Amino acid sequence: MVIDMTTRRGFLATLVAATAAPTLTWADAGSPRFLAAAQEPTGSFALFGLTSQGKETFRIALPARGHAGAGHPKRPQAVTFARRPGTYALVIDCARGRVTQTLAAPNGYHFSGHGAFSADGDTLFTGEVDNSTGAGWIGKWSQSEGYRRIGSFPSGGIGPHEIVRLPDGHLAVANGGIIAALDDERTKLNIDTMRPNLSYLAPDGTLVDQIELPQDLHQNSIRHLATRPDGTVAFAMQWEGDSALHPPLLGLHMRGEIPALCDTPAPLAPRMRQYVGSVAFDAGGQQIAITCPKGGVVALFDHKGQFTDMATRADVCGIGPVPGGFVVTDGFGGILELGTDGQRPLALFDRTWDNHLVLV
Amino acid sequence: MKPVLTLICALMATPVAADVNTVIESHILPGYAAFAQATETLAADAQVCGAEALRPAWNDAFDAWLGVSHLRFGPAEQDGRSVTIAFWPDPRGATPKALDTLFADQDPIINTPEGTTQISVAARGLFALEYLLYDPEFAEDTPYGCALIRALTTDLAAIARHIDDEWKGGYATTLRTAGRAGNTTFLSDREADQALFTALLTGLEFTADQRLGRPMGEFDRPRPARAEAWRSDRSQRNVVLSLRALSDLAHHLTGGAVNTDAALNHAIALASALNDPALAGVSDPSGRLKLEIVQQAVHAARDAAVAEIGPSLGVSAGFNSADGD
Repeated sequence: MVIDMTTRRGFLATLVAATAAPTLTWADAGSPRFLAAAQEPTGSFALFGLTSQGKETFRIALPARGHAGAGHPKRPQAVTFARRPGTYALVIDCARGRVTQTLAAPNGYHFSGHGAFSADGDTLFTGEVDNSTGAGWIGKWSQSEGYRRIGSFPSGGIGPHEIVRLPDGHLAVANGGIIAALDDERTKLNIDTMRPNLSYLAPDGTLVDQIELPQDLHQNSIRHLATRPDGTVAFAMQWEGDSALHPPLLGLHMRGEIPALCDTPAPLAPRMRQYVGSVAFDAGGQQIAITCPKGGVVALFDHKGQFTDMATRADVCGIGPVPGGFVVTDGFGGILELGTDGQRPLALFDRTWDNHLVLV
Repeated sequence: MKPVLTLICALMATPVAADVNTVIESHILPGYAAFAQATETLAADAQVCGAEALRPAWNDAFDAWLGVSHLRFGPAEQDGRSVTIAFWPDPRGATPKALDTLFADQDPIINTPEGTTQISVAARGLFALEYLLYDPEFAEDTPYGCALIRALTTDLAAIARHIDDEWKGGYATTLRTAGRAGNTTFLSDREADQALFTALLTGLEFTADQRLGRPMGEFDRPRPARAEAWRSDRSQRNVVLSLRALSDLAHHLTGGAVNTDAALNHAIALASALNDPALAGVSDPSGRLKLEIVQQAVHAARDAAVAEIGPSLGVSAGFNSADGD
C-alpha cells in the first residue's frame, strides 16, 4: 500500500516536473512529521518519512549508514550526513524517492553529522571539523544554486556536533570540545583539557554569544540541541570524566542569561549512564526530554528544567515533539509515544532506528 | 505464534529464543526472594542494639544482593531502588558526609519509615550500614547510631520486599509475555532476551570496570581505598559472588554457552584465588598484576558472551547504545 502510494505520487510528481517548475511540497512525500534513518534486517540502510503516529510515508534506500540530517523547510528535500567521520552528505528528493546530489566536505575536513537550513530554505549550514586540529567550521551551501558551496565560518570551538536554527535566524552550535582521531575507535585526544561551549552565530558567521560550563564540568561534552519559539536552547551533554560521577546532562539557556543546569534526582541519575543521545522540547514547549541509549531511559523535565519523570526503553535514541509529549525511536524498531500518562507503543518495525529523528 | 517465529529464525541463522521462563524461575525470583529474606532477618536482628553482633546478618544481606545486583531493569530500577540499596561508587564521600549530618543534627526524621525514605540516598542502604557497622568513626553503639541502624535496616527490608512483591505480582508476567498484545514494556519476545543479555553484559562490565578497575587506578597510582566494601573486607568476595551470579544467569539464559561458561569459570577461579579480601594488594606491583589478570578474564568472559550468546539469541549489544554519536 505504502509502496503503491509512493510510486503513484512519484509518477504524478514526474508529470508535474515535466510540465511546470518543480513546486513539490512535503505533501508529495506523504506529509511526514519526521525523517529517520534505519538499518534493515538485510544490513542495508534507508531513510524513512514518519508521521507523528509512527506511520511510514516513504522509504528511500541509502548507500551507507547515516547520522542525522536536515529537512528543507518547504521543499520535500532532505540532506543526510554520513556517519562519522563523514566526508559526504546526500541531498534526497523525498517526493521522487531518490538521492539527487552528493555534497563533499572540503579536503581535510569532515562533516559533524548535523546541519540546519535557514528559515527561507535557501542556505544549508553544515557542521564541519578540521581534521588536523579539531577546530569547528560551519559550511554554507546555496540550495537555489544546486547546493553550491558559498562559504564557511568558524563554529566558535572544537569538535562541533549539532547545529540548530533559532527563531531569530541565528544559529546555535554545540561545540563538543573533543578532538577525535580519525581511527575506527575515534580515540579522544584531549579529554584532560577539553572545553566545550555553546556558541551563537549570526548567519554571516559573527559570534554573538558563547557560554562555557564551570571548570569542574569541562569534561561534559555539549553535543545535542533543541530550541523553543521563545529562543530558549536546551543543550544535552555526554560526560567524559570519572564514571562514578553523575553530573547534570541537560542545560537550558537563553541568550544573555546565565545557563541553568538541570539536575536529575540522585537515585535516578546513574541510570542515564552519563550519556545523552538526543534532546527535544515537546510541541507546546512545556516539557523537555533527553534520551539515554546506553542507559535505556528517557528523562523528562518541565519547561523550567525541573525533573519530572523517567521512562524506560532499551536503546532509545531518536526523539521528536508531538502535542503533549514526544515520539521516541529505538534500536529494536520500536516507535513509542511518551505523554504525561506514560508510554504508549505506536509501531514496531523489523529495523533498527538510528540515532536521530529529524523534524520536518 | 512462537513456533512460527522459531521457524523463521531457524531459516535465517540459528538464533533461538532465550529460556526466559527458566531465568525467571531459577535465577530472578529465587534471587529476590533470598534478598528479601536476608534483609528481613537483618532488620529483625537490628532491633537489638549492637553493631558487631549485626555484622553476620548484614553480610548475608550483601551476599544475597550480589545474586541480583546485575538485574538493572524492572522493579529494582523503579524509583532508583538499586542505587538506594547500593550507593557505590561514591568518589566524593557522600555517604560519610550525609551520615555526619544526621548524627550532628541527631535528626529525628529517621524515627518513621516515611521519614527515612526522605533522607539522602547516600545515607541509606548497604553502604551506609557498612559505615555504621565497621567504620570506627560511626560504629559505636550510641542511642542515635542504634536508632539509625534500625531505621536503615527496616528501610532496606521494605525496598527488598517491594522488589520481590512486584516481580511476583506482575513483572515476571510482563517479561514472560513479551511481544503479546497489550504488553507495552516488551514489544517483542526478542526484547525480553535483549533485557537479560544486556543485564549480563553490563554486570560483567561493572565488575571489571568498577569493582576491579576503581581500586586498580593508574599503574603508578593504585587506589585501594576505592575498592568496594573494603571496610568490611568484602571487596574480593563481591567480585567472586557477582561473577557467580552472572555465570548462573548466563547458564540459564542459554542452557549451555560453552565458551562463556568456561570463561566465567576461569574468571571465578582467578578471583577466588586472590587471597586479598579488601583488594589492598593493588598497592604493590605484583598484587596489582594479579588484579589486572582477573580483570582481563572478566573482559574475556564479556567478549565470549557477545560472540557466543548474542548471536545464539539473535541479539546484540544495542545499535545506538554501543555506538556513540
